[in-house]
Amino acid sequence: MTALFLAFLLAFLFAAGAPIAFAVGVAAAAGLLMTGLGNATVAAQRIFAGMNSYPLLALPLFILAGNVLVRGGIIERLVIFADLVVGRIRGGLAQVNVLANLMMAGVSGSATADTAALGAVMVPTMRERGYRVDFAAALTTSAAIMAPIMPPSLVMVIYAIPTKLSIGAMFMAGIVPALLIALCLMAYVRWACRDMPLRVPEPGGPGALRATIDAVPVLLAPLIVVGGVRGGLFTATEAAAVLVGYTLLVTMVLYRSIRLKELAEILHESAVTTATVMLVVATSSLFAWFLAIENVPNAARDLFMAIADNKIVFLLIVNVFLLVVGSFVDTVPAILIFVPILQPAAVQFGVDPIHFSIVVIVNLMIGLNTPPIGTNLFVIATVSKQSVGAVTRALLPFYAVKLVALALITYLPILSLWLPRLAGLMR
Amino acid sequence: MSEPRSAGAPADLESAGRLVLPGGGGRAVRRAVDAALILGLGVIVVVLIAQVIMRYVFHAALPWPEELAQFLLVAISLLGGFRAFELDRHIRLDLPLNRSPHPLAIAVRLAALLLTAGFVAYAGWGGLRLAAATWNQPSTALRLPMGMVYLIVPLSCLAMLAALAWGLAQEIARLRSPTRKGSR
Repeated sequence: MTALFLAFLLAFLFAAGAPIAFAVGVAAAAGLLMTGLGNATVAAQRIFAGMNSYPLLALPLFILAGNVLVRGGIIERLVIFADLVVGRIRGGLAQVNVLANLMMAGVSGSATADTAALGAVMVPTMRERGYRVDFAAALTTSAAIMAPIMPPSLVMVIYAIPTKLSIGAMFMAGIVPALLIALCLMAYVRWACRDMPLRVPEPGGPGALRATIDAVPVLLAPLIVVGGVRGGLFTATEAAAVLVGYTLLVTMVLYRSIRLKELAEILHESAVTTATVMLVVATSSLFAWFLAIENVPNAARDLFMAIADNKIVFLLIVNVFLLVVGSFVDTVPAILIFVPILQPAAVQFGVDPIHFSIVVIVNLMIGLNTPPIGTNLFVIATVSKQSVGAVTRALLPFYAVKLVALALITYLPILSLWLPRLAGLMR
Repeated sequence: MSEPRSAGAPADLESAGRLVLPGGGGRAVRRAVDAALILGLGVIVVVLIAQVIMRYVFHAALPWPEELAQFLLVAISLLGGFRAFELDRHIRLDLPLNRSPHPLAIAVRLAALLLTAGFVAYAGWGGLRLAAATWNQPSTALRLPMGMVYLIVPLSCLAMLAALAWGLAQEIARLRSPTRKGSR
């Protein structure tokens, strides 16, 4: 009864446009009051403790590093470089979109940030060269889902909180699945753009050497994160701090594209973004804590054990469940609330937790592009000045592509586990 | 990870999520909070980079940077939560209902604002009691009184409540004068 009321309360607040952080907080507080399990002091203490975490410090740092690079004009450099690599093949600019997204994913941890940043550059450029705007929008937002799958990843930092998984191992585990998604998208683009005219090289752009040199500092950035975290040299937070130092060096000293005054704006912007994510983390932690003392995770595990009798069926049910959850709930509360419920069942069925984390994240990222409540869908619709309906229609074939990638990632654990094992980050 | 969006609002009714404190008082609070956000994140970056250098170059890690950075993270999250109300940056759904001048839509928004304010007041009250209960309890590394650290909870909740109260007042004004919908 309590659960039903809380679900209704959440749905009402979401629909009324209340901030998700506070809607979840209201539901958690209502749950605590109705069951008599906690009081205001406990709630405040849980909220504080939910944010007072060393691993979470990676969050503002990765957000800041991404913002510094975007403001420092990195997207344009990446697009020019990607153009050099894949721009001359049929559907070249669409391939550039995927490659630029993949490279950006290596320095950014947020699909929404990438959708906005790359959409603003790629959609108008693709339109100028004769691509349909809805196709360009759908492609950009589909490719942006690689951001939190490819390290660094804000989502993985948050995923590690309730599960206590190694962020380093998750970072490693995401690389091959992200590359797989890129490959699937590129294969589809190759087919979808088969009638596009071949592009003639345009004179006047920077030379090949110049474009490569311009892009190298950015292409090196992921190595700091992956290289640093691998083998436990750095914690993810330390790697994030070093990444911030590196991006500041590149943009302020090397490119000279950011001035001191702009740095204050970037810090402010990053602090506010951090706050919006951290508050969702804090109240979701409170809600998850309430569910845990209500013994919901164990009940859910028993339910899954009753309806699924093997790993394959279990993973299928989880995929369907998460695709639905992801289309309604934002990624952070979805992870903090549902992962503690799903993971015990996954472990019971013999699914490796690191592999499971990648499956969950890919699912939720697809949900970010899915109506009725797909954040990135709204972002790209705004950026490309298309209706949500038009972008959704253009997204239909991309869903199929992403579901193929998801199926491969779900049923071939080796894709996720090969690299972290190779790096010695897990058995 | 998602961020909010607010584009597409009709000109006559701004997005209901933007709750800007009015007047000179509002401006002063805004400036102070903005400065704290910039400084807070700046200090986090500096002490964590310094700590990496101390640990890996000088092999002499300091005991306090992590704790300081964590406390600052909580502070910028809560203070930023207040500014996110003013900038309409909170992650939320932006359905047509949220901008509709229809009295029923306004009533729904009023209810949501009231519930949100109730939660903020609840958490702020809890934070105040927490601060009082731990006033003499020192933190692990910095030896700061934890009560002082916890004070950021009621302080930020107070600022958020002010923004929410202002939002409530505006929605009520809209309800009363349907001809001047959304004017502020």
